[in-house]
Amino acid sequence: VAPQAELLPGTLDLLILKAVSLGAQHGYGVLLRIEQITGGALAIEQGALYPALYRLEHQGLLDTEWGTSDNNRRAKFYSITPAGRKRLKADTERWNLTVLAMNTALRAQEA
Amino acid sequence: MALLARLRSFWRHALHRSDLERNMSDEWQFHLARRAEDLVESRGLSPEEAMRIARLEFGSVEKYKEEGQERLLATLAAFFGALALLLAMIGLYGVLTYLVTHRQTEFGIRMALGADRASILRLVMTDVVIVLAGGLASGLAVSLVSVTLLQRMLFGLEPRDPMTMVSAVCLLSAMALLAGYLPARRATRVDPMVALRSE
Repeated sequence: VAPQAELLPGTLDLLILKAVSLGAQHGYGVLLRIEQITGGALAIEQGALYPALYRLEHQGLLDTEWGTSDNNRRAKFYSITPAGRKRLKADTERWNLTVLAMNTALRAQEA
Repeated sequence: MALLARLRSFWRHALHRSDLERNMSDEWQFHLARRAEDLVESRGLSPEEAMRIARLEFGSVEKYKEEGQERLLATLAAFFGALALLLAMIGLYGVLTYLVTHRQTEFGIRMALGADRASILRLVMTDVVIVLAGGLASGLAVSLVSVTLLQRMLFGLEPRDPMTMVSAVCLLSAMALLAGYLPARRATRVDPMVALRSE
């Protein structure tokens, strides 16, 4: 088993938006896709996924629709809204700034 | 009419919430079933074992429990609220019945002098409305101030939510008017002759 990193607070929403922006998914599909695009390096608590999904839906960033999954079960599908795409873009930029600043700070050498 | 429309949508939303919860559990069931299938496939587990692990991974047991406790607390609070309302109604009813009995002679004289039933009813109901107005004014004032303390217990609801306030005022008013109307109607049934003779 590869070592897993802890998810930083507040980054789950961003990951979900990214995962859903790649195509509509049901909750379990969102989880699988996050695992896939992070290479399984981030530990996601499955029970925490749904509160985050509901929160994003409530904020109008995700749209939902009941449909049938690949094996004919009823499932709720999440898709990203224009507001969600806008948020994803803004949060990605903020994230890059944070990473840049942190890396610069942590690489600083004693003068 | 805009207010009416808003009230209606508020209640529809409140009723809609149980739908939402059912959807939620459907969704979780779906998740667990799919996860279990994947575990069967990838690790060659028995379906029962796979389901057990899927549940463990989901980590929902504790959350379910917590949610259940919060719901129980909310149900209890609603129950005691309803009980308090019932007691208030009985109290108001009792006091007004006493008052009406006490003023029976007065009502008899008024009716003997030509007061009709409607005016007697109005006389008693005016008292009810005065009590009600006082209660609503102080109740609203206290709840507007104290609701911030409860903020952490509100879900999907703003403190000082206007629709909640309007609904509470309507419910309490309706109950108070009902509790007052029964004794008031009795006051109009006083037979002037009986009332005067009993003096």
